[in-house]
Order: sequence, then structure tokens, then C-alpha cells
Amino acid sequence: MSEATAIVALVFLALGLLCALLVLWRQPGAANSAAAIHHGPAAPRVFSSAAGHSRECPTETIEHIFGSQDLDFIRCKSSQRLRRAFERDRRQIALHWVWGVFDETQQIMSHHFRSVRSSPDLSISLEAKLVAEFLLHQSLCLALAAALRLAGPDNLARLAAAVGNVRRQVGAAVESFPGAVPEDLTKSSGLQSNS
Amino acid sequence: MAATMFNALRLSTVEEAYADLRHRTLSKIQGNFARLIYLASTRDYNSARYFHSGLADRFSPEIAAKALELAHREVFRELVSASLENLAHELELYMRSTRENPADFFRAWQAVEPFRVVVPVDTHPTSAALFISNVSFALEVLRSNLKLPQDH
Repeated sequence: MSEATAIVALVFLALGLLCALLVLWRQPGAANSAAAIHHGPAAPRVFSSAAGHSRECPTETIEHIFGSQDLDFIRCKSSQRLRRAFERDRRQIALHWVWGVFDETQQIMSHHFRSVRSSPDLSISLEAKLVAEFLLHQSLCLALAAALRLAGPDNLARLAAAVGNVRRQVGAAVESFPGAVPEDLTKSSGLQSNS
Repeated sequence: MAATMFNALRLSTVEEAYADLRHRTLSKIQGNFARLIYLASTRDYNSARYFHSGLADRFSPEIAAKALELAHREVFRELVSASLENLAHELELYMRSTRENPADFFRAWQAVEPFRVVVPVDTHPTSAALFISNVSFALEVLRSNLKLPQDH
């Protein structure tokens, strides 16, 4: 085996390990909602009760989560304990959003592939472009999740916005296949919105 | 054609009812947090339907419900977008408007967490989680700034 092949193999191995680690990270050891400050660890109730939700998360909410304004305020006004709790809580909310869009986009693509498999109008170039955008989106989600785990959500607004932009590109590409994905499914992931 | 006209008429009526609600009722309530609590209180716990007798008399129960729902969503959206500092200010304004003893207020709000039931139906779970988290932290910041003892 040549040196170059070994390097490529190592890079793929490292990427595989990174993905495995991230998937393991998806299982939160303990939910760190704000309620935990007062009532001990408890899963955020709004998340568990909202399965199957069908609206796009507003852009302003995402900007707020990934902004640093609130953290600056907490740093000035409260104790170390509260600051740490706040950082944990924001990280949980941000991670929940990231994995949500990751799963939804995967679902859209699975449905799309099932639909176009037997289509006579299958365009290899369009499909390749769609797959490239999908892989870029999922990679950005993984990078964002890793950054969130390591550093927290503040100052990651640009990366979160990039995820949103690629989502819209994937959405536009999926929608260019007439009848490929039901309208309600693209809506559920927010792929068709240009907000 | 007739259906489109009817829908346009309905929409304008909802907008009129919404404007009426803002002018007659919401403008007299100080602060968005107090408005949110008020609007959530017009929603039935069991059916999630909104009701306001005055508005329903002037328009119709359906139009009034739509206007209340619209106002609820709008006020909630503004509060979710607000910075934690502004939210804490809104919360303090609301607390003072209740004329409740601050220690009792914080005890009740941190134990019962009534802010969980003021989220409009169909709010995105991430927005709802952000709101609930922010209110929890705003309460904690206010409480610590007022030098109130911790109960737990």
C-alpha cells in the first residue's frame, strides 16, 4: 500500500470515528434544562411532547440561540453556577435543533430516493448535485454539533446560518422533481421556505 | 369568486378584530409579558379555543378567537426574539404589576412554572424551549438581584 493510500484510508477512518463519536454524543447523559436548576435533571418537556411537529423553526429563534447577547448578560448579572447552567441549557437547545434538521433532511432524502427510483425522468446530474448538497448539509450539521459540544452555541451563528442556507438549497433541488416529495414532508423540515 | 370575496371579507374582519383588541385591551396592559399572560388566559385549557366576550359580541366568537390567537402568537414571537435582558425587564414589570410580594411571586413561579402553559399551540418546539429556558433564567437573575433567599 502506497503512502498516499494509507493517508486517505486514515482520513476515512478518522472521519468514521468522528461520526461514530457524534452519534454517541447524541444520547445526552442528562438533560440540562433550566428546570434542572430548581427541580433536578429532567427532560425538557416541550421537546418530548412535540414529536412530529410540522413547522420550520423561525430564523430569529436560531439567531437568538446562536448569538452571544444573552450569555454576556448572564456573565454580568449572575453567579458562575447560573452561567454554567445557562451554557448547558443553550447547548441542549441548539443540539436538539441541529439533530432535528439532520434527521428531517435525511428523511426527505430517503423519501425522495424511494420516489425517484422508478422514475423515467431520472437525471443523473441533478441527482448527483442533490446528493452533494445533502452530504454538505449533513456534514455541516455534524460540524456544528461537534462545535456545540466543544464550545457551546455562542458565536456559531454563521455556521448555523450556513446549515439553514444549504437546507434551502436541498429543499429547492428536491422540489424541482415534480411529485418527488409530498408537500407536507418538505414543509415539515422547512425546506421550502426562503425566510 | 364568491368564496374569494368571502375569505377576503373574513380576513379583513379578523384584522379589524385584532386592531380592536390591540386598541381597547392590549394597549391598556403594560408590558408584553403581561399581555402574553392575559392572552393565554383567554384560551380554554381543555379545548385550546380562545374566548373574549366583548370581542365576540362586537364581531363573532370565531373572529374573536382568530384575533386572540393572532395577538397571542405575535406577542409570543416578540418575547422569544427579545434578549434575556429585555425579557427579565418585562418579567420584572409584570411581577410589579401583580402587586404580589416578590418572594411569594418567585416561589410560586419557580415551583408551578406557569410560563409553560402560555406558549401558543403549534409553536416550534425549539422556540418554545428557548422561551421556557429564558424565562427560567430571567426569574433566577431577578431573584438573585433582589437578594431573595433560595428556597431549594
